[in-house]
Amino acid sequence: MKPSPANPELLTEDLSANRRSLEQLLGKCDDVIFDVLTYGDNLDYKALSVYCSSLVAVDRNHYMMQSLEDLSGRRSGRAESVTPASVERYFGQEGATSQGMRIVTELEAAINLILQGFVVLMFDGWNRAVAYQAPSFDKRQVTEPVSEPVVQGPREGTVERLSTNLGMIRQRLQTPRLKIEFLVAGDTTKTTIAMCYLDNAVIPTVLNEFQSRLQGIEQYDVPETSFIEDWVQDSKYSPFPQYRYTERTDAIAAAIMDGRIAVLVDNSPMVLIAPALLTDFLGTSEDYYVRTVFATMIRLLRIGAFFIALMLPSLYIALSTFHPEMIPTVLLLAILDTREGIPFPAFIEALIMEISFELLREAGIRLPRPVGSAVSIVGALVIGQAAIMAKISSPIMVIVVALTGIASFAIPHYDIAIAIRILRFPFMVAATLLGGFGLMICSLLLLLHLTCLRTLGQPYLTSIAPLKLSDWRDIVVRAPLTTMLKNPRNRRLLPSESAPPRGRRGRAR
Amino acid sequence: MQGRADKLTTGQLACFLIAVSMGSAIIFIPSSLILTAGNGAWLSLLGAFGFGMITLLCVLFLHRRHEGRDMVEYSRILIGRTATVIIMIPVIAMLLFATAAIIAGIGAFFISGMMPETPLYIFCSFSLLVATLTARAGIAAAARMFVLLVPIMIMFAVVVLVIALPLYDWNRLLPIFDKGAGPILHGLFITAGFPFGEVCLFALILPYAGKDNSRLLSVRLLLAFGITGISMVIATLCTIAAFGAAAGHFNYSLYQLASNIEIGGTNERIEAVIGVALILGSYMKATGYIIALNRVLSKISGVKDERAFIYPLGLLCTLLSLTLFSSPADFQYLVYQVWPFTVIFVGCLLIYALAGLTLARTKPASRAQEAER
Amino acid sequence: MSGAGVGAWGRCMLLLGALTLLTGCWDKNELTAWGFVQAVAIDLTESGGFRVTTQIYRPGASESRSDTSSSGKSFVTLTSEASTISQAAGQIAAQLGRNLQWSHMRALLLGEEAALNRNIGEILDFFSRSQGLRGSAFVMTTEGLANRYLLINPLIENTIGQQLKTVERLSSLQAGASTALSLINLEILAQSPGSVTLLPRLKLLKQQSQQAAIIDGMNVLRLPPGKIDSGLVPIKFVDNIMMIRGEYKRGLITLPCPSDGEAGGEAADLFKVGNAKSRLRVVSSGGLPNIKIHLSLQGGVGELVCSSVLTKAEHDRFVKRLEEKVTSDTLEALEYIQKRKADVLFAGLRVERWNPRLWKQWRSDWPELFSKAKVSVSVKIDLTTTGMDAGSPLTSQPHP
Repeated sequence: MKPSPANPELLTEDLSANRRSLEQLLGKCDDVIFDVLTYGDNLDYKALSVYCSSLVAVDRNHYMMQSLEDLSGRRSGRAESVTPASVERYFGQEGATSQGMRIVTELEAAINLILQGFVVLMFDGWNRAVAYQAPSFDKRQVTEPVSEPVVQGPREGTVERLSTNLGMIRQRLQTPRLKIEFLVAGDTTKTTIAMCYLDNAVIPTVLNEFQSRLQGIEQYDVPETSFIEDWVQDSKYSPFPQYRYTERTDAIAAAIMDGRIAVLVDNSPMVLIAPALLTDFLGTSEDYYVRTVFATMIRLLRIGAFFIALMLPSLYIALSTFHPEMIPTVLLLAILDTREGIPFPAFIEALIMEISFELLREAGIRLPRPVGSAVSIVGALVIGQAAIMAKISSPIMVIVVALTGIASFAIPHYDIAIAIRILRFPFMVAATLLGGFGLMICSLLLLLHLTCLRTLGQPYLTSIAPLKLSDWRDIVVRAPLTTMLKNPRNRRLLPSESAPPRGRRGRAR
Repeated sequence: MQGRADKLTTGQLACFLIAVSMGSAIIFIPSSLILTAGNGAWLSLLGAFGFGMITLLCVLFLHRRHEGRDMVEYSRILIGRTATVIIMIPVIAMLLFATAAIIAGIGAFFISGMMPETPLYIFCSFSLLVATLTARAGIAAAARMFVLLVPIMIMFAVVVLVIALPLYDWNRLLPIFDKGAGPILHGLFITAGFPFGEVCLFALILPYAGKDNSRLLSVRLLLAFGITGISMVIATLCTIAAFGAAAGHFNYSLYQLASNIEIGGTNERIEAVIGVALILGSYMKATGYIIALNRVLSKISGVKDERAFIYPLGLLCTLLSLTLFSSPADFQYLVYQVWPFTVIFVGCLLIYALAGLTLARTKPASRAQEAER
Repeated sequence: MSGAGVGAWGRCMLLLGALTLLTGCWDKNELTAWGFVQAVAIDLTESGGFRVTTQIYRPGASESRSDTSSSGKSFVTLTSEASTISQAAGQIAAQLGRNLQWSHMRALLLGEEAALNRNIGEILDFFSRSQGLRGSAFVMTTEGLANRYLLINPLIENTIGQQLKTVERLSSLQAGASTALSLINLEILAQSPGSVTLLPRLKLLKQQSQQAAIIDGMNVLRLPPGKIDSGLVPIKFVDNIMMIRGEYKRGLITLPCPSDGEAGGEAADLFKVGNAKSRLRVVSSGGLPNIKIHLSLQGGVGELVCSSVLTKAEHDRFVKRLEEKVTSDTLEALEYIQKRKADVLFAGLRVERWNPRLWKQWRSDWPELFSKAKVSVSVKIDLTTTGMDAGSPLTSQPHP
């Protein structure tokens, strides 16, 4: 008979019957091990321990011995032998001392626990089972996150295990107001999704909005955090990310204190921070570990890098093809010297160099580590020089492309750097077609898009577009930390206005 | 989205006023004005600014007295439905002309200066495309953008005016009455129409303000208008100081000023920033007018979708901007002679008439409440 | 997100893509499609038209490359004749095969013939109206034909156009010897009728097998007819005129030694002017203008040959001699320009600005009135430093 939700199949007192039902469902799962043990006087009572050897890394007798030792701890008291009745009495009524013990009554629950890494013990004559959580294989150690290194500061990054990550967060925010809500998604993957927020910092409307959007994901198998991002975000086709990823635990803790929501998914070290405003992408956690003046300079540099990465090639194309009168004369004559003899128009030349640079960049990521860095540097130099000698490109174009690439590397967050890399090309096209006017129109359209973009109901350009100059103390400059401690920063999110319903286009109109 | 009230804060409305009244005027006005009024052009501006201030006060009075209602609504209260439709027709015509003139102005600027070979329709269509898309995104989004763009525009203008200091010879401002008093009055007439008198059209945008803090709103709006006036006067003074007698001869004086700036002995051609300021100002003004037009039309026709008229209006304005003006002389005539007349004697007169009617017929809110008790 | 939404966006993208095809690259010109004009020389042809010679930058010549054999001049000179400037420019563009880009032009040279006989306003109109021209291009007249000057090899700069501009500027700054008259200033003057100004004049000089151009004087340009007067204003008067106009920035004043002193007749002390200010006032005395000029100069000793400024009395004497010299030079210069009825001091402008009623009476006859005007000059000189040496000549006789 098949177990149904209305009538879950229960374990019976017959051990062999239990074993048969388990083997039926777990057939061909050869890493599930059934261990039969005997206990009692004359070893005439049988017990079964079922566990998944790929998840449990323990000496197979350990838990059995430990449980029975729990029982026979009473040996010094009444001289009693261990019998099924005493087993039942001990575990069912009098509690136990070992860690993470659960009592299981249903077959499906037992299977779930086995697959989660528990050791399930069944005793002949008892219609319940005892399950212990066993230590699993060590996964990846906590190391510095590769994509977010800092010079000064903690080097703790998240790992694939949810409990380790949550533990690191809890250690930083030791308050009962840090709420962590679990959600299990998917029938096959049964991924645990954890949502963390600080009760008095998060804005209730934002939290409710997020929770309401997250509804419905439980039916799907969610392997990674990015699936949640796509499920929840306002605008799928915008190049700008509306949520931030991070692997740094200090950044996560800071974001939670800021009133953001952190979403962690088991088996993935990438943590989603919701909502993320454009201004969040311009700062790193290292900004808070260095001195004020230096942090301010670096932030200003980054803002400059933002604009350079976006607009430098298109500016060059617009100036050289439409407005040569704006280039200073001596520079112009120098450019002329080198541009004579190049067969391509400026746009095609720029396109060739940009695409080569993108290919180099991608290749640098995919190559194995020892070879990778050498190839990218040598490749860039050789290709640049060879291109100039072959008259495919002029030196000034190589400089422009190199500066653009370097500026995009200076942007700390990978997803916004991607956005800018994508947006460079429409700007170049606009500059080619209509020069400075096209560039202006394109910038206005981009500004319009960013102004209308919302993340979790918040305007994406909060602090810039609903202009609030007092927030700029943490965006454009970095005010001394004493100022920020005394006036905490979690006022940036806008209160009270309820987020509009998501329209058909997934974007609030 | 429709349920969400499109309310602007006082700061956003103040920036909106600067955008709509200054707009591109800072680049177009000085040369045409100096051509007419000579060295006393700044006197004309001061007089026109006073006139604009009076009109703005009337507009604010209407807004306060009618408790934030729309112009269409309170006209209906004051003079009835059919009369409202009749008086709104010239207002709609004025808005259409203004938008078309602004966009044609952008096109004319680019054709004469930076990109002479490109046809006019490219500039008109792309500018109006962006303005229409912004109008469609709603006035709240537009206001958010303008709060960013207005300081940029003003800053560019100020930076150019400041860096051009070596070019100024303040003696060129004398004699003040080199053309006589008559041309100065003529200049007053022109600038009372464009740009200062156009504040009468701002009455259509005021209803987007929130209901509270109307005192703060008045103060901020008057301040914003003051900024506009001061900027225009300073720009005109600087133009006369830089170019003297030739100031009226150059078409876009601020642009010419920017292209002659010398930093460290070399002529740095930074006139691109003035081009940018021009595009920004005109785009903001066009967006504001399309939003106002849309509101008037939707209130009169009573359609449910509040943004139904935006795309058709955009198309209409594009076509108008390409066909209304047949030559530069025609543009001069229409924009500097017909338009000021229309603004003063149709737009502002309408506002004054409505204000007078309001004063006569309605009681202020506090007195009405007292009367009820 | 429903399928209908995607469809709408897809259509939008398609339409926008079609919109971009509208643009036909009208104004788009690669840098290699332009010929950048560095300097222009305008002469008069026999039939009274213009002969326009342009100097166009030739890229690739200044850098030494292994593959190109010809590292020739960095510019190319092209000429054509027509009745208007635009026509001539069009013909040159046709010869070159590229469009002409005027925005990097540095110098505009007018041959003397052309400046004498054609209205400069015609020439200026083309340059003023054309897009992108830098107002800072300098205008100069030349002795003889202007196009010879464009064929000179530049001494250091890339092109002669740049060299000429540098020459102009340097001589204006260092020697106070010529006014830097840029295009924009000329345009402003052209709009105020009755203006008279000075245009620097170039002369070719041959120095050790190298040709060079120097400024040897100024021409008087009157602006309603837009033509220059024949007759050069000698360079020695230019200094003082510049001082009166307030355009004299730095320069040298030579103070000849007293003829009865120990030094020979040619020796002179030198005073280096660092700063010069002037004040000009015009009042009416008996219906005639009375021009009062006050000059105040500040500077240090350049060369001391026969005077010394060690004591206060010597210092006062030296300064008094300087002031007398400057006064007499200035009066001489004023006499000269008064004879030529050329109000290059902008005195009339001053009357117009500060006393419009008086100007109404005088306006029609101003050149005459100016020539008859009474002038008075007062000079004050401040000697602030003697340089790195003390205030006596290097080889000085011991004091008696």
